[in-house]
Amino acid sequence: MYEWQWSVILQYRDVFMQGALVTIGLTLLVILVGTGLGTILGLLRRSQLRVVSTVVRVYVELFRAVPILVLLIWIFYVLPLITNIRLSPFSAALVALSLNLSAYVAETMRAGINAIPKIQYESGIVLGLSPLQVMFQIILPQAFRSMLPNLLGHYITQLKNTSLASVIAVDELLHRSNIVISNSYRPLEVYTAVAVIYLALILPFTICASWMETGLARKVKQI
Amino acid sequence: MENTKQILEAKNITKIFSGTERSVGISDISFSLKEGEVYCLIGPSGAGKSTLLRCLAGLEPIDSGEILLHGCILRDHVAFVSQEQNLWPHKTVIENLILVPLLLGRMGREQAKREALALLVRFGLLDKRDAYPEFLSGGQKQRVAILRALIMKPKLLLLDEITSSLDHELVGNVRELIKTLALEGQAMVIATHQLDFASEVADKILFLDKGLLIKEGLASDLAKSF
Repeated sequence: MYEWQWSVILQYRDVFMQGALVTIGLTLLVILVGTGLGTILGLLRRSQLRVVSTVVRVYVELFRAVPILVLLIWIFYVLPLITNIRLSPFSAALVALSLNLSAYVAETMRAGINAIPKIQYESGIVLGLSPLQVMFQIILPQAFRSMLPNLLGHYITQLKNTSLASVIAVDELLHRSNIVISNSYRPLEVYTAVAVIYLALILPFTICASWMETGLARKVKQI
Repeated sequence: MENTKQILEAKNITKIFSGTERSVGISDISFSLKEGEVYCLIGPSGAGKSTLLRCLAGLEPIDSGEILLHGCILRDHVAFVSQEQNLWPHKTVIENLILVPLLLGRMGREQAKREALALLVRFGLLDKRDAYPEFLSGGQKQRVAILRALIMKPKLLLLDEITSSLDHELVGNVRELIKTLALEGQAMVIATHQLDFASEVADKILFLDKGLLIKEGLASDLAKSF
């Protein structure tokens, strides 16, 4: 019979806390960069210039298809060999996760904008607004409402994906936990605690997403 | 009307839709409209009424012919209200009204609000000023859509079957609003199915069928012949 020793969690609580903070920080930065880049790409995806929309489409398909772990390792180990650009583990993780998230955001953005009836666009144009004014004042605010639950889903996934950064020694939650395991030899307690911490981090996002899905669904129906 | 200036001239305009099948939207249509005149486009579904209005509004490029605007600029002085509910659902009624003049720098916020409130008072919608479109009836939505166009003080107003999606009891107020505008000399081209309404508000009626202008004349004369 295995004897649980939960005292190890209390003993290393500061290590877990620091790891959780790095996880949160990395997630927030990925959300910021990935959403910004994805929004720009989503708008470019609708470009009348075929070459632009094709390039964006290839980008989206590429970064959705490549596994994040492969991308992470490639950026950290291969990129320096071919470009002489050496990123820190944290920066490499930020770039890899942001590229992945931006591809999903771009696709969500494209679908969200396409879901807005054409008449909404035309009603701004006929009153004299420029296409950019229509996009930013009329289309995107409506599209974001319908996209928000979907975006939150991507953000939750990215929070979980930060654990992959442990393979390139980013000091996030899982990496720190592995260090604790190698010191304490209590993997079951540590992994259980890590699972609970991830759950605690993700739960607010999940509640928020489900609230938005039910709360906004009614409003989106009106659009 | 004799001394008034011509503001719109459509010369032999043709619009062909090239999708899976080529189909003629409108063919060789010519007419002209003076300041203060109201024209109604009458015809069955698919006659080309909406296509003609969308061409006049610059929403559809024409394949041949010419559309000339005299003394007015398309995006500055021509407004279009469609049959679909086109209010912006994330904005309240008053925000729907003031957004365009603010973004185009035509008015300051205070002036835009004053003008919007004056329009809402005049057409009995003041109590809806802070309501979102989802809380308006179909008729109220269409009236707000017309007011949103009117706040820009258009020289020409294009209305595309704006009562067609409304229940019978909701149509009255919208028709009253249009009649008031007609009496005040607002130049309008209105697509409608309703001949009785057309004969009440229009100076001239244009009958369209299968994309062709088959008959045109004074409302009073044409209404008698149908």
